[in-house]
Amino acid sequence: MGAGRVLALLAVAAIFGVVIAWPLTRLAIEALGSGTAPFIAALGPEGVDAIRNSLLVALTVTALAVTGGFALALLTEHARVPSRSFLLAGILLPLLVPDFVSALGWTRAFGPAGLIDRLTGVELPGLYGPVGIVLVLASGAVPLAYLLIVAGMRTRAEPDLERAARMSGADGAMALRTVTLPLLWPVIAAAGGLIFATTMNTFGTPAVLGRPAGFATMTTRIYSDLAFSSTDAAFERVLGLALLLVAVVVLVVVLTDRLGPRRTERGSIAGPRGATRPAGRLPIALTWTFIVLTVVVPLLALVLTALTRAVGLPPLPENLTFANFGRAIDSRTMPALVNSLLLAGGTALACVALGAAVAIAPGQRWRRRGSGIVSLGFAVPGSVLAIGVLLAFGRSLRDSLLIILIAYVAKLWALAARPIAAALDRLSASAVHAARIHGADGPTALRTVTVPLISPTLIAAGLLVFVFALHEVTISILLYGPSSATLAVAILNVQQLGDPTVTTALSVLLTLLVMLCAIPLFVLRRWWSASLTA
Amino acid sequence: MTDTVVRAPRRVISVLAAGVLLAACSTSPASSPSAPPATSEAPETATASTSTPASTLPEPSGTVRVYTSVTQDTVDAVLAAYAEAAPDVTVEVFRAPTGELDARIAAELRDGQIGGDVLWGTDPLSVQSYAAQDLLAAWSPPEAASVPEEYQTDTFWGTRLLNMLIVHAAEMADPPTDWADLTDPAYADGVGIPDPGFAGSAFAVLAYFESNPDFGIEYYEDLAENGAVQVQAVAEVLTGVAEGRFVAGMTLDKSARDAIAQGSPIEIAWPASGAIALYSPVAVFADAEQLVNGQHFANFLLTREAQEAIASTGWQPIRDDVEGPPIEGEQVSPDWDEVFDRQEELLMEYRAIFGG
Amino acid sequence: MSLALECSGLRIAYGATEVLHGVELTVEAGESVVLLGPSGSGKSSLLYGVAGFLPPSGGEIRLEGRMIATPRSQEPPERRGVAMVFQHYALWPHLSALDTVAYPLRRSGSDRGAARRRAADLLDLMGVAALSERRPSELSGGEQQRIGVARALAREARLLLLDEPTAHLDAPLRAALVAEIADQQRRSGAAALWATHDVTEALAVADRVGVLREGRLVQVGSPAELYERPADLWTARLSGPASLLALDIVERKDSQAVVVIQGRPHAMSLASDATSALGSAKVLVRPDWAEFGGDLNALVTARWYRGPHTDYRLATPVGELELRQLGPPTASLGDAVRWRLKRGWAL
Repeated sequence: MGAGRVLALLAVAAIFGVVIAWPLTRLAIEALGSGTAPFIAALGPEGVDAIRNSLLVALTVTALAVTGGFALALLTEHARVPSRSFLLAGILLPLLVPDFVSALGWTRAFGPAGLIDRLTGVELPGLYGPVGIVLVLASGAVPLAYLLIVAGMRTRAEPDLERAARMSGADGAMALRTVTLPLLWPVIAAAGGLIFATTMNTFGTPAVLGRPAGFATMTTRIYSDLAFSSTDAAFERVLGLALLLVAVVVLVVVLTDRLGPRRTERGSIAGPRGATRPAGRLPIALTWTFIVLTVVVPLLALVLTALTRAVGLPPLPENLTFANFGRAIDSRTMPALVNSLLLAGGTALACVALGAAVAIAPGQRWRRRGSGIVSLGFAVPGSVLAIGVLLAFGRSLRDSLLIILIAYVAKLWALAARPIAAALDRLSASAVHAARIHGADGPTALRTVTVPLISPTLIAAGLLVFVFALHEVTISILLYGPSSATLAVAILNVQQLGDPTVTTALSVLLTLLVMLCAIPLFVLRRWWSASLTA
Repeated sequence: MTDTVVRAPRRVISVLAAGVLLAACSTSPASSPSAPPATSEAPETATASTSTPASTLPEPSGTVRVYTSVTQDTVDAVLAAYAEAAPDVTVEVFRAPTGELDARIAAELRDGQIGGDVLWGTDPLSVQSYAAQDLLAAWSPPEAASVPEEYQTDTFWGTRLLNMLIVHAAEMADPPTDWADLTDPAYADGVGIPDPGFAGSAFAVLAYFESNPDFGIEYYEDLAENGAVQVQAVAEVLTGVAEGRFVAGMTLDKSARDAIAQGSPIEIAWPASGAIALYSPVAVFADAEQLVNGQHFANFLLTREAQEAIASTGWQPIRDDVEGPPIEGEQVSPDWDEVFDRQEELLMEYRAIFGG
Repeated sequence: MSLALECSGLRIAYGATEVLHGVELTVEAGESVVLLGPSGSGKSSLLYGVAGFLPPSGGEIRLEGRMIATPRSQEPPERRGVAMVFQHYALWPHLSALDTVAYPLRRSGSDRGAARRRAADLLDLMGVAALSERRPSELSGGEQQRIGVARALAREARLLLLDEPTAHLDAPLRAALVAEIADQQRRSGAAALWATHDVTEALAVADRVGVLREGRLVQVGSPAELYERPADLWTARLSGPASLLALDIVERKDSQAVVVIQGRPHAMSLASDATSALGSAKVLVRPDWAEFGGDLNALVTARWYRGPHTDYRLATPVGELELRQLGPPTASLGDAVRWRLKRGWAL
């Protein structure tokens, strides 16, 4: 290893120490400060119920979302679909809708007195309860899985490998099982691990849909204890449960990584992409049905709610108004928006750079370990991570944007690192070797070959981090100061006023805003990839 | 009622003791250098302030940091009034839901220094907890006489009242009139109640019913048997009734009145046996950096101007002499001191019935 | 039905761009047909169309008389019973050589043990038995392609598609592997459709050669036909070294003609598809169709010694001529030499 590489790796390790290791250590010290009591409390019968429920929900959601995302990726990447851009937009749209209103959208759409109920008298049975939680979370996670899997597929197109299987007598499903799936495993594991961790950490949906059924998850218990965190016992229980949750998430993520092939071969197969066959009618119809049911209808229900004069009124013309949008924003919204955009942009850049930095790690094993270790930050529920960051840096960085940035990077590093590491796994080593032979030094090869080749993943990871940071409502609410209020503060202010029409109006505005941000990025991406292939 | 509230002389000792304990226990190397001075100053200032009549305080200037979970519209109204009363003071507000606010305080406390001067809570429970940990300065506002006695303690004072009452669908043939009606089979599967595990106001309701022999925890058993549904947030009950998911439920007076004013198809029923009232206390942290300004702001909350500002946002002011929203019947409260010691137990009893 | 493959009016398009414009091609059972053409001429597209990876936009494909692809419906690749050797090997990075070759056998229903035994035999047949536990990243290009061929043989197909199987190998390896593939293909009795841009490979293994130019089949015939009677100059240049002389034909009878060179009549064998017209003509001459001696004058402008024979480039009054003579060089650069024209192909 050259000195430059050593220095770069040391810098990454130091950042890890500051943003993830030290806050988590502070959390552990506080939790262990009073012995094992918090953990024993967390493992009581109620605690065990919550752990079981959380695992049940998270594993089901991960399985469903990865399957769905993979199926959609096959449809759009391996077959020719009509009106492809609309289909892609439809699949990815849920990523732009803040997840704190996704449960609201579903209850508005399919719940009692919801849009569908009003129109047809039919409501979705089991919406309030585990079934509803799984449905809402899984449909919300499908675009995440889709995005990561497609990015991985594009890192190395290998249609010839599947063709070789078909030539050997395997039908489509067999080729999928014996060739496509094993080769995509790192990408699928990365997507699955992230979805699992996100689902284990999610609070809004289980709270709204789970409470009516008395269904508690680890996060709802953590938040319930947080409400009583003025007492030591409850505060320590929060930390105990959160650390337990981290342990469970990390255990499952590590196991997933282990389950995969120990070593992913990096062949040098290119092969022409070739023209793809047109997709069948049934898959396309199913996909559009899925998009309409899980994206369009809930979004429509949200927009109608945002436009309704008062909660409970039917969405008839005489009840519609734009007044809620006015009530949703005030003089604090603009500075909060600016802060959130700055933070989200900064976090996205930092996380992609840090994630890409593992590319210079000496080998695949180290890359995997690296992306595994940073998952620690992603595994901590947002509010508890914020507590850890406060414990670690509260006095020196109080009220600054920097302390929020630290927490965001700690939380979202893995969201960029895991997909990037997975993409690197699939990258052909000979591409880099060729660059070195032809006169590129290490950094040049990284810049001119590695980065362009994994750029679909870098862009996808950056967008994900940006949107996650913009939509988060659990971290900055604990960390902000007079001049560093974020959108989370504005959202919770509005949410606590208790009028869903205003909350919905704000989230509709937020969705539109992210769409506006996403369109230039989309254009830019096309321009970028065009300039790379030129 | 004052059993758990410590008198000033004993307070000093316990603050000292807490300070020593805190310094000894502190595991963070960063927190130890500054922790002892901060806590050793606390008793002095606390004693000084109790003996200084607030009226002789100099005109304040500088900044004051307010930690609050009170809803934003009310904070805004009060801040606007305060800007006129103390134009030289810059108020920095950290507003977050109670859980997040308490978590921030807990973290800052363990890091050695709470970042706020004033604590303005939504319900008494968490503030009681800080009082019990001797984190609050003893203090008596100039307007003390205007605050009803049950909302006074040595360290925190009530600023407004939140009333939990019954809300039901408009144009109902036979609407519920009292809490007991919600267990009537006529409203089977149609009653929404807020989860006391998440909201202080819902917890107040639980505490009141459980400790009242007329109801007891059996009241919740009856509700559950009648198919009542728990929801996470208090406002969700209101939304549920307005949309027709529920026919009736328990919610807060102000949100219900706001929704009705906008045209939501709901009505309020003031329970015959009394709405369950909880009060939002204000306190000043004992080791506040801006103790004087903090007390000035806290005092202000009890003045007529501040109380009118609170009333203007639809909440009931604590002062009887300021006109607030209509009070249409009895108001009852749990015994907060008794409740304080039994929080966990109450929640366990409740969860055994409604799950989670 | 003795036809292994029949393409009629086959058109293939990538979106709006048509790359095959109505190809008529048949391959008889056991026959080896080579598609010759420069890159971009549509060879791979034709192969991928037959394999089932590209749907026809027009025309149809039959395998052993069975309709397998029309623009409306296509049999999936795995049910066509054809095997393929890929240009870039397309070995699966996650499978060992043995598992790779066993793969098609497993798909056709062999149990694991039988499949692996047969796969080991095939690896042995291809001379790579020692590599059975290796993965692609541990193998050289030649080794990878031997495994690719073994995999295709394991399919036991009636038609073998070979997409420039040796394009990425170095020359000595290439010739050996081509010969081996051809040998194995003949032994298996399967028909073969090769794609290549290498004319020596094409002439060596083909029963018939089809020349593809910009998506059109411009000539189909035996290797000798292609070499001796190319359809046009483009095909002639593609199918081997060729010179073009401007000759004045004064007399023709059957395949004999008299032409005037250096003002003197000169008898030669001259074939042509066109009616025997007299007058000036462009005549194609292969290097072995002229020889030293005779009474025509020329100047040596280049010379290449190739071991068994020597190639010369001569400047003659009727144009530049390439001439091949057995044995070591007998003339040097700049020498004035005498030569004679034995035969030609009038275009």
